[in-house]
Parts: sequence; structure tokens; C-alpha cells
Amino acid sequence: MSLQPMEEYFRDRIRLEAQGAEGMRATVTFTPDLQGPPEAGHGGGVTGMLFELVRLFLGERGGDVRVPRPVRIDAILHREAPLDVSLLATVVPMESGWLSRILRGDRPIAEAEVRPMAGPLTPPTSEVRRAWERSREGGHEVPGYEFCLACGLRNPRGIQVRFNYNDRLVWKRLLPQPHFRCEDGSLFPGYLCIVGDEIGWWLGALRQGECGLSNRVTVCLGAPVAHDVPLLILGERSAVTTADPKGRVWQTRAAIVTPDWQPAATAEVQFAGSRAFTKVMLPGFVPGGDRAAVERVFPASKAVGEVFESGALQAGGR
Amino acid sequence: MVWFWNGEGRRDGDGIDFLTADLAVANLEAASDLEVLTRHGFRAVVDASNRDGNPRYPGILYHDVPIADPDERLSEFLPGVVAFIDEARQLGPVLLHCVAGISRSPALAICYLHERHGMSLLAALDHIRSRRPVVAPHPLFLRVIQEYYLQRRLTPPEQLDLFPKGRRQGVGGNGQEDKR
Repeated sequence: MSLQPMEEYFRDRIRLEAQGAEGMRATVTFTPDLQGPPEAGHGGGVTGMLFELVRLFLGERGGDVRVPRPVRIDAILHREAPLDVSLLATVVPMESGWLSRILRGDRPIAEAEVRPMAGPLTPPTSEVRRAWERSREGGHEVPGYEFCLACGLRNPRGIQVRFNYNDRLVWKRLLPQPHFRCEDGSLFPGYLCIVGDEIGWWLGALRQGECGLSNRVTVCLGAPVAHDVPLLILGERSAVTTADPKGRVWQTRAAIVTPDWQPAATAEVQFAGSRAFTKVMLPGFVPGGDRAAVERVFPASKAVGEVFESGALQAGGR
Repeated sequence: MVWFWNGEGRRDGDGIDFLTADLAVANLEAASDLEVLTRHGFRAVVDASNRDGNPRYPGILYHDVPIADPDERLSEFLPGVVAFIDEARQLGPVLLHCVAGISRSPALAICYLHERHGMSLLAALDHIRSRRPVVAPHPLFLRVIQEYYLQRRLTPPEQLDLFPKGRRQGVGGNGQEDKR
């Protein structure tokens, strides 16, 4: 029941090759328990790893803060991070921050600019708070992939979060699992990256009614929080916007707050969805899944019925 | 033998009643409150409410015991409950709850105190009532529990008597299904 702490687990996936004042070079491997969709690293997990590389470069561990907070992590996810493949990772200082990159050969998989922020994080508005107080435990629950780092109920290393949603909000109250505790008792920052990306994905998917991917993830981390503080992750559906005339690329915003509404982190995700993604990803939601729950989220997709009706995918229920 | 933790009971006014340092009973309302769960350090919950839609918080382990009150199948769930609590105690205290915290969850607690703290069934029941006076397991549950342990033959029968002469058990039990 007890797992290796996630901070150590992330560090164990990194093999340091060289480090100096001018930068750091390493390899990083995403294991299957860090997957999002099958066969690829979770977008929030990749973002968390990009930040972890910076923490490693600066010698930060647990609550021994070396990267000033609040800090902004602007990640671009160029392509899926393959599992069980040793990838090149680099960190270099840049003006007022650090650039963290993960590459396969010379092709970038993901990169993030990490910069200290001048001001504090903005908490949710009182209007959003009131809306959530009215919603509390109601709404529907999104379906999930069984082994996903964020939503997989069969991934013991994961967060196992399945968000609630109604017409107004997407949210979840949760308590970080013990393995997300850093040695000093603070919450592993990667946790906030994972849930921040996950809620952004769902805000986008619910808006579009299709599956997709997060290709830009911005997470702003406040001061470290204790790992055993309950958190509320909250995003407003009306705040999901697009500048794409085809309505396939969406900007989402969410906050992760402590019970006194202090933001532990905020997350902005760019979600790109399409019918093609739905066709590819939908079978992942089926094993053990609730057909009605999947149809509510992806109402436009006729593939839902087809996939559920194909008996081959019914195995493996939770 | 040290039966159970050293007897310092805790009652904190939020509906959580600790039976030992790492085992508590509550009603559904208290068990549904994440702040209450967190304040007491619960990382694992046994849910015997037999209701769909109870809040489930990521970060807390849940074990369902889908039984009505009463339900003679109680004994089918006992090995699983004991095993779950044994394992979950590594993470922190474990909360047992049903709807009211009167019948089903205390019945399960009797079994755990008996198996892991060496208490007779009656001593376990008395101990639970001393911590949570509203407790009144349905008489059918008590009979099922007594029969279950008699059949296992691991404990002297005198430690399994839940219906001693001159004492009526299952106060409040009316032999009909209710929502406790």
C-alpha cells in the first residue's frame, strides 16, 4: 500500500549526465504508470517532469525552495512523450528563468520556460465560489482511462481523479495520496501540474464534445502547500474560450485552492480536439466504463455506441 | 495481552467516534465531509451505507460493504473488511460508516475488535457503546456475527456470547429493515 514518494520516483526516472553553471544534460524515461492516453506520457506529468528537471538543476528538493515562488511554468507539448524510451533532457538558464526541454534525438517532445512571478496568484472570484457552494457534490462525473496517471482508477501511482461537472463548473475535491508527500511534508509540485492539465483537458473536451490533447500547459505554482491539505480543483466552463473559427482549439483556466480559498496553483491549458481524436481515444474510456457517462461527455460522437456495442472492448472492467 | 490502544477515547463533536487510536465509527454525513476526514487523518473508509452516489475523494481508499440493515449476508463481507482495515491502518486511522452509524458499521467494528484486539464479542459491543452511546446493532447482525465465529471455532464459545441471560441485545432493533 505504500509507494515510493513521487518526488523520488520522478528523480529516479532522470539520469544525470552532466551539470554545470551553464546548464544540465540528462536522460528521462516515462514509465507506463506515468501515461495519459495509452502509450504516451501524461501531459501534466510531462509538464511536471519539465519542472522537476529545473528543480533538480537548482538543487531544490521537498520544501527547500530554490525556484522562487510563485513560479510560472509555460510548457509546450510538441508531440506525445513515448513510454519506456530514454529521452534527452536539458535545462539551461535564460533571462529571468530557465528553459527545460525533453527531446528524442534532435526533435523536441516538450519544452517549458520556468520563470518566477512578480505577483501572487489570483484566487477564484466570489461569484465562482458561490457557484461552487451551490454545486458542491452534485453534477455528473467524467469517465476515465483505467491506467491514466490522473484519472486511472487502476493506476496506483496516479491521482485517480474523475472530475464532477455541471452546466457551470468542472471541479473535484481531493486529498493528495501519501506518495505525493515530499520528505519535508509538502506536496510534490508535479501533483499540481498533473491535476491542472487534467482539468484543462476536460474543460476543453466538455466544451467541444470531443477528445483531444493538451498542447500548451501553463501552471503557476504558489508557495508550497502541505501534502495533507484537502484541495479543490475548479474551472468555470464559461471561461473556456476560442479564437479558432473552426472551434477546435480552446483556452481553459482553472484554479487549485486550499479550503480557505488560497490558490495553491492555477492552470491554463490549450486543448485541441477533433472527431479523429475521439475515434482514437474513445475505446480507452470503455473498459469498465459507464456508457451513459461517456455519451454525456461526447454526445456528438456516434462512435460511442459503436465502441460500446463491440464486445471485444467490454473486458477489463474495474 | 494489550487489547487495544491505551483507552484514551476521542470524541470531537463532529460525529466521529474513535473506538481505538486507528478505528472510528461515524454516520454518512460525517463520512462525506472531506474536511472532517482530513482533520482526523483518515486515509481509508469502509462504506456500509449501501447507497450510490456518496462522495468519493481521490486520495482516500474506499471499501464498500453493500448490505441492508439487516442482512444475514453480513458474514460474507467480514474477511474482506478485516483485511482492508489491516492494510489501510498503515496509512492512518480507518473510518467505518453506514448511514446513521448505529447498526451496520458498529456490527463490523465488533468483528474487528474481536479479531484484532482480542476482545470478546460482548466486550467489543460494550466498548463501542461506551464510545458511541447511540450504537444498537440489529439483533440479526449480532446473531450472524455470533454464529460466524462459533463456526470458525477459533475462540472459546464463552467469548462469543452476545445474548447473555438477563440482557437484551440490539436495543432499538425491530426486526424490520430500516435505514440506519
